[in-house]
Amino acid sequence: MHTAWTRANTVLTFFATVLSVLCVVVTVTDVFHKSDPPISVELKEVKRLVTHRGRQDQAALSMRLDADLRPAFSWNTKQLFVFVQADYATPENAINQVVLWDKIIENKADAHLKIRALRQKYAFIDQGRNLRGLPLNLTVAWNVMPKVGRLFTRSKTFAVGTLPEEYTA
Amino acid sequence: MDFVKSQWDGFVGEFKSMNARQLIGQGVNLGLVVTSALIIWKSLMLITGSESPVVVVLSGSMEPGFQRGDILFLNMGSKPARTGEIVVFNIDGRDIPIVHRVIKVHERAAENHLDILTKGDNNYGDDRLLYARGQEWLHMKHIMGRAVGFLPYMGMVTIVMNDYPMLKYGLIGVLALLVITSKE
Amino acid sequence: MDFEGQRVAEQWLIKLLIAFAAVGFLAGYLTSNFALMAYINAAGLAITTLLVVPDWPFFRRHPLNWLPPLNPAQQQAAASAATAVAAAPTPAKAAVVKSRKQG
Repeated sequence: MHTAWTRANTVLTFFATVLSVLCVVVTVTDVFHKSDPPISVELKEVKRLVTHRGRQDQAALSMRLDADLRPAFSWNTKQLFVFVQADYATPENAINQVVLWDKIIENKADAHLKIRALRQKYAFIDQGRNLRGLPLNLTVAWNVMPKVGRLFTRSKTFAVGTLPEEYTA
Repeated sequence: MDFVKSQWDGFVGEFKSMNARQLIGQGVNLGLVVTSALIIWKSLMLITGSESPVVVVLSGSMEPGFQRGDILFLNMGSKPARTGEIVVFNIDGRDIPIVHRVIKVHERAAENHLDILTKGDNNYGDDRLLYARGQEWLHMKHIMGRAVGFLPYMGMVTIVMNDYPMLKYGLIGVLALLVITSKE
Repeated sequence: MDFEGQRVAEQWLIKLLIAFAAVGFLAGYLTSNFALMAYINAAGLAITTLLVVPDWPFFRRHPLNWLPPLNPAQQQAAASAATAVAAAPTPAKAAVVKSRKQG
């Protein structure tokens, strides 16, 4: 450590080492952050159930969402990416997941979602013609995006009813 | 100015004071530093199963969560893609990988076939316009990793060096000089 | 900065940076304020750099004991003694070279 340069170099590299250890410790604290936010989602009405280009079923839904995601925010949370998706199975496809709506929440104060008429953002189109009479599951999921460290997702699934047997107008 | 000159003379003096054997030794030192970095990179590729275990976010299509210059740690794994996951994928014909979120998944019952649709958080529409002509869905073979870890700002060096290539050559030159003239 | 000062400086460097990191982490975690931890760490870096990098007088408390400087007469005597020591091996070297040429 003979010159000021060597000392400055040592300060910077040791600081970098300390920071990396700190980052690991911070992301580990998220493991201990348990939360169980109260969530409810309902199918308000099926506005349309039609065919898309004559070959695939398409549905337009209106939903009601009440999700208090404030407990999901930890000191290391940068934002929550919340989305509502339709989960269902068909004879051709074992698993179908279609995101109908999403939202980014950047502050804990804005994290209590109470939406009476959730308008679908993305088209709900099946790969076949299986939506008529389909028992529908809606999953509310939130992807926790940290300030530093591990990304993870939590979700809750609800059975919300069955889609109409016949096409609507 | 005198200070800079004295530092430069110091470097040159160290250089001249070495005989051929010492110079070769320092060259080997430099080689060792480079190859150990390569070993670490390749081991990470093996452990994570991803072609590119660490990436720098280059575009603003995932803001405000991921900004340009942030670093993402990727893991591939063998599990099929699911909605909500942030995946890094390559389009046939493009060489820059894209980091977006999966918004639709249709998995066939019989074969191991997945149809995947992605969208950037900050984009209005989904990624169908980005896919190759006539391609409606991504498949698992296009995906090179899922984002599992995040580090803000640390990749800004890469972005700055990409925008100003002279800086990249200058930095490499200075680092090589420091390694060659150091005594340890 | 003398050797003892260098050792002390390195000790301070390590202890200060670790201390600020620990305090920053606890303060940020307990108040759920990530930015607070970042600021405390930045302050720690600044304070450590200020204390450890420049050549402060308190790092020069254990200077090496160099011999006292010689006056001109002593310098002459020392110089001639040094050249005598350097010259002594050469007659021996010349003898070795001679014997190699002969044998």
